[in-house]
Amino acid sequence: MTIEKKQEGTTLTVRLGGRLDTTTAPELEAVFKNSLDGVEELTIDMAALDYLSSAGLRILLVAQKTMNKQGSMKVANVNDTVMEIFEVTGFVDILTVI
Amino acid sequence: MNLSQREIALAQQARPQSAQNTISLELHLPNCTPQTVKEAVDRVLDSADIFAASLQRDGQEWQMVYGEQKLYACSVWETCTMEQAENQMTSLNRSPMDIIPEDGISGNIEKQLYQAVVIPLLEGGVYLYVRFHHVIIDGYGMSLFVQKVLDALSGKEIEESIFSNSAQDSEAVMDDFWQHYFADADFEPSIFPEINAETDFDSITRPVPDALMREIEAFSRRENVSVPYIMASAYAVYLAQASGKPDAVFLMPRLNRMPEQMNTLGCYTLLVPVRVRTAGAEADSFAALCRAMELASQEASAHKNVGFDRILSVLREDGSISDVPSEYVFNFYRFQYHTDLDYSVRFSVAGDMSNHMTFSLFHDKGGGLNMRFDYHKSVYTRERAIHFSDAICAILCQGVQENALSQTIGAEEYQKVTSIRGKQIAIEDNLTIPSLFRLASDRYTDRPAVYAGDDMLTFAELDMLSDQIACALVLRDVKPGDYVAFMLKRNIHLIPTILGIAKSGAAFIPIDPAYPSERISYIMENSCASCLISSPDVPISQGCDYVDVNVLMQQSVVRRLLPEIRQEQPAYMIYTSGTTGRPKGVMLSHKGIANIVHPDNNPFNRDITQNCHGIVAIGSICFDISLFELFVPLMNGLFVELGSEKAMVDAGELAAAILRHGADVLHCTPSRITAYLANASFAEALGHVKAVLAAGEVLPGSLVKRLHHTYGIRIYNGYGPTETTIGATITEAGDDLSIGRPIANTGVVLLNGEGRSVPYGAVGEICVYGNGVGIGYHLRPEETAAKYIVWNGIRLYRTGDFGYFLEDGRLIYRGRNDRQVKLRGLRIELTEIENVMGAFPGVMACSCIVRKIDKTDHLVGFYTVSEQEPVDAEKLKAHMKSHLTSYMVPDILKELAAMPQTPNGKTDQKALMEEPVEYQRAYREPTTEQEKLMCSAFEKTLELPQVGLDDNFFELGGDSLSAVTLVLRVEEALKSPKNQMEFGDVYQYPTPALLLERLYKKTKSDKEYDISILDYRGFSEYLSAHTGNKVDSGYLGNVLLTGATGYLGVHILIDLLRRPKLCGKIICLARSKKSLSARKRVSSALFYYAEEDFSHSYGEKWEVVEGDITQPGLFLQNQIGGIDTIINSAANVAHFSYGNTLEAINTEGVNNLIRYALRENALLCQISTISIAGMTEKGAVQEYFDESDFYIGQEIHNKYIYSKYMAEYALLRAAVDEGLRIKLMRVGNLQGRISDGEFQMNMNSNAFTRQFASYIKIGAVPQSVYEARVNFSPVDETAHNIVSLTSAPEAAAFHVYPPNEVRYADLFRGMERLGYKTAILPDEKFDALLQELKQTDEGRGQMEGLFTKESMGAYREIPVQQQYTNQYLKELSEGWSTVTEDYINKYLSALDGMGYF
Repeated sequence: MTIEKKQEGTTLTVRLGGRLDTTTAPELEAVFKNSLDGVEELTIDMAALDYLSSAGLRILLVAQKTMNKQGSMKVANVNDTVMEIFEVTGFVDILTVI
Repeated sequence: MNLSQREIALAQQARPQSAQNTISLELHLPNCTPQTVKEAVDRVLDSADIFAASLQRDGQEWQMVYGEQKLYACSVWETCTMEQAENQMTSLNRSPMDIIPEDGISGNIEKQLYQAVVIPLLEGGVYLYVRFHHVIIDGYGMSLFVQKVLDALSGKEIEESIFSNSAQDSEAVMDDFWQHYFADADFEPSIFPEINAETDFDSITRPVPDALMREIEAFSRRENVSVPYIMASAYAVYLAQASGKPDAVFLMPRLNRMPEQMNTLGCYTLLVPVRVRTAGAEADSFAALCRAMELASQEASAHKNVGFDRILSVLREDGSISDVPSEYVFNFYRFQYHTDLDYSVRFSVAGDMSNHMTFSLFHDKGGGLNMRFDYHKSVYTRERAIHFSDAICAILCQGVQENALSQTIGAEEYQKVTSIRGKQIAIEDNLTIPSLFRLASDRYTDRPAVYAGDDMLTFAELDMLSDQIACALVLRDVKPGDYVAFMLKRNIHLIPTILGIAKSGAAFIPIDPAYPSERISYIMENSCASCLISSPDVPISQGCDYVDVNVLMQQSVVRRLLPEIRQEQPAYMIYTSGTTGRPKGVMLSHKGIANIVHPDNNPFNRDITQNCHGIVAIGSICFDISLFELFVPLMNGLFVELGSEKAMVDAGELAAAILRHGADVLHCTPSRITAYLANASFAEALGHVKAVLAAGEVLPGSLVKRLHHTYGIRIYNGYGPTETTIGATITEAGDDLSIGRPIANTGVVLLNGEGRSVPYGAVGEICVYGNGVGIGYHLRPEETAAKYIVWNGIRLYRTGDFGYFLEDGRLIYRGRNDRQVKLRGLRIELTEIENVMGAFPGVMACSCIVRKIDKTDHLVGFYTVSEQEPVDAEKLKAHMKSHLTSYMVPDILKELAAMPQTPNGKTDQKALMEEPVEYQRAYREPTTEQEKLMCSAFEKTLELPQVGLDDNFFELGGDSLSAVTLVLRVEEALKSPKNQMEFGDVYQYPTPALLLERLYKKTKSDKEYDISILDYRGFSEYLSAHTGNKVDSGYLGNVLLTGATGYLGVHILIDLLRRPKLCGKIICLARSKKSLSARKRVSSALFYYAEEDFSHSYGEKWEVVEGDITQPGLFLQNQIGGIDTIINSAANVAHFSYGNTLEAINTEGVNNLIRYALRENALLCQISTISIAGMTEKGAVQEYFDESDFYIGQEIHNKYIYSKYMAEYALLRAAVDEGLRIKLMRVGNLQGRISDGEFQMNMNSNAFTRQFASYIKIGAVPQSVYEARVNFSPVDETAHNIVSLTSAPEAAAFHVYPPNEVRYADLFRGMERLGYKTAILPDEKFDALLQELKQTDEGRGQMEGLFTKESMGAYREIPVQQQYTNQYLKELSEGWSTVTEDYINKYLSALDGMGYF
């Protein structure tokens, strides 16, 4: 799992790569905990994310809830596999997938 | 990157795991040493910058990053034999290129882009194997690479190669060109309709024979066309002829190099589709075609720079193609090598294949031309590929020698396609209807021959009576070759008359007394019949000039008056509907009848002549199939029970006819049997029937099963036009998929539009030859000449029907053409609809199409009517509704004066597309107050201005959510209906009228799903025979697992993968979805739930095959073989659904698996539900439902549970009747994992959690619920126990759920800990709260989950027991964990973490 951050003013882009699961989710959770202060626009770029487990999905919801209070969150470049999970779980209605 | 590379990189992204996009070369150097070759290769690798490049991704964009020096040197492998080396190289071709692990910083995954290996050979010399990723090299570049290696080996200087993007790489938009290029194109992208599950590929290489090559070169010089275009033309001829279309389309890589790039190693190839017409003025000779090909390729090539992806999207948008333009690729490697060294070289494109076939040409050292065919095994067998190569040679041969293009296949394949015929049986040429009957009469003299009502004739009496009629006719000057018509009631005179006419030497013409008088006089006039035999008791005969049959029967017999009859002379003439609107007479000879009545002619004849006594004949005498049901029995000593007019339409009467004299054979159309089965006395009479011929229409598999299982009846289906004497092919008992094989002395060939044989396995027009082929159409020489043709010296009949052969020689029927369409996601066979429409009296020609009207697709049916018989469109629609499922009934029916036709006589579909139609929903106005209220509730819910009484909720855009609103609105509007409305009612009664009927009916129908009528013989013995002895877990062998993407299915898969010793290989059957492959979906589900994708054991331990259990074809031809255990966890779990999707998966799918399991002798484990225990009326006797129970008088009120019940029924029937080994796993309410509480991904589809969430959202729960308990089955434990129980030796039903239930109270307390407070209300108060909530949208949203819970008023669920299963689990040392507070907390947190509440 790789996490790359790029911040420009109040805009934060987080690029995920590899697999997001129980072992890697805490890492991402930590990133969200420490980096979202003052962020108004969060983009999670999933171009290089191959797999997503249920634990990973929960972290996205946590981020979404935080961003609901302080700005907006977008999920970008979702591959077909992850998109199917968003669709089946109903997360397409919760997240803004672009 | 240039455009070529970008397109390849894109393709790479789509399928990163496969060996996609690699091409390779195998260079044999018999006189070189490994070290010198290695050094030479390394020099070449050093000379070109592309070997220092790597592919990296920056976000969505791929880019080439160039390093300083080559990334991988050439390696030298261990010495081996040539054969071993070749095997190694083949296996390398099939494996994906090595992936360099992620670099950890950017998350980039680098691809190894090439691999060079020297394999020293024991025989001396070496093989050089180099594999490239297509992104760095193209076919030309690969040739160039070989040349450079050869140069380096000869010590020559190697020029530096610097890759540069092509200047030709323009962004110019040339969409117009491609639209124009494909305008009026008429082609098929593929040839073979049957696709199997193979994912592998293979190849064959053949030299163009020297003699042929010389002729090709001579032709090339003579006609001034170059060799590549000659080869491509042969390819085009094959593709066009094989698909029966005038055009051929294939894909061709075109070089996109600038002159200065001709010596550069790199990828500059762009793929283009090439389209060429192979018929008509543009291609009246092979040379003309070659020139057209040259032009077409050059034009395409000149417009390649838009890129292949763009071309595809333009063509798709334009409607020219639906998916890919062609499954066929053509490659020509022009390169000629210059060297003194001894070498041979082979290229493989296998790693770049997703298409069916790639045809490549390359030069060998001597300048000869080699053809290589790389083929996908999903479509091609090796034999097919060889036939393909033979065909190309045959086409070339004829093309260059005769400048003609009529060849389609090679000699060997021709032999194969022309040898599909039935058994050859010698039929003596003096056998005719009279002589055959005389033989029967001599042999079976005093046996009963015919029963009609209370009358009976023995064979001798029938012989005598028909002799009398024959003599009377002869004395009335009837001569051999004349026609005599008859029009009689179905009484004892009918059969003597038919035989009498035949004995007089005349041919008989049957006329139905129900025909209108115009039609009767037309037939009499047109046929020039000598006379009409009728009787005063036939009303319509009063206006006709006829001979009274009673008078004929007064004649005394003078046998010498009767003439000799030749087999070739006409025996009968049948009038069939003609396309022109006038019936036409089809003339058939005695030869066909003598053939088809032979006891060994077909399996049905063999069956009834050996095992049966008599037949009930109910076919109308005007259809030739009736002759089959009369003549086959009579000529073989069986009796005919001539069914009365009433027996033809009334089930009870038919039942009586069966029982009257003990007939045991029935000929009946499938739809008639299906309809009659509802009649109890008919169903009982069927118990005496042994064989049924169900010809005339598609035979549904469910009917075959039902007749076979319940009554032990052997059922046959046949196919054949009137023109070839009744039948041409017949299926063996029970094969409902095909129309079988040719009957004796009969053959079938499949031809394309030009009368040429199509390749084996391709679709062509069914043409029949042999003894049955008739004489022709009466007085219609032109039509006769068009339909009865002489083909390679054989006289055959072109049926106008299309079909193709399975590998085993059975014929699959495809209708009049490929008429399968998709409408709102449902697959529809237009032919089937047309069959029903065409069967309506008065409809002459008809055609059904799908048209877009007001943005929605609609089925539109067009028809023409006969002058004599007007058609009432409403009645026609009613007829279709009674014969077809509702979605197959056209929304619009339109009568046309004439059916538009194309110049070659087919229905002009394009003209029908433009035929103006009006679509208005038939609006039935509500009149009563209730009707008005009901319609208005529909209108408000659907937000439509007007909804009529018969308008369907779902067809107007209703869905499950709006169904909830509808229920509320209806309750609101109709204050106190007699019956309470339930959510599921909307699905079962989707129109206002039906819903009203349901709500105001006196009593609610309880027998919606009547399971009391089924045949349960042997079930309880079977289920109770299996009681537990001491047991151990066994071995499952190879497992086929269905439904592996579902919640339970994936946990079964995980359990199997984690207990590898329990089974062999696991094959998962899964569907693909949009662009996601089946394998991707399973892997993703595995990772989602298990955080592991098990890819390390993929291929060895487990594998995914694409498909679903509703496709019977998937289980044919051993596409999945060697299976020992099937675990079927595929199910549609929607408790409410509209249409037939539930039955398709839950019941029909299971039938497919049963058939497959029987053949494979596999154990079939069905995941079922404990809900099949059903319900009973309150106050009924206390009953328990345990593992040995199935039907205990319970009632089922839900479509989903019914479908699962019927699946168990089918399994038990097959277990009892056919010895199928089964296990039934009845599971409970599947809930979160015991390990961590994780719940199913599609949370919303679980009825229990939806209901629970509703209480949480409302913030209140009724007291009665709070105090209740609920079954709670952790999914992982359930899966584990299912696997253990399946592997144990005993076969039976198991009740797989934990013994202790969970208290709702504990769940609500758990929610409280998470911060959700719920008030406990007395039930009345809760109900009042609901009434309040119903008033607002928000409230309705909150309580939505409570709607799916069915309230069954006067019913209660039957309690279920499970001692046996628990005891059994204990002996296996398995069992259930206790549900703890900790588990409940985990489960609720898991749901909460997903934002569920």
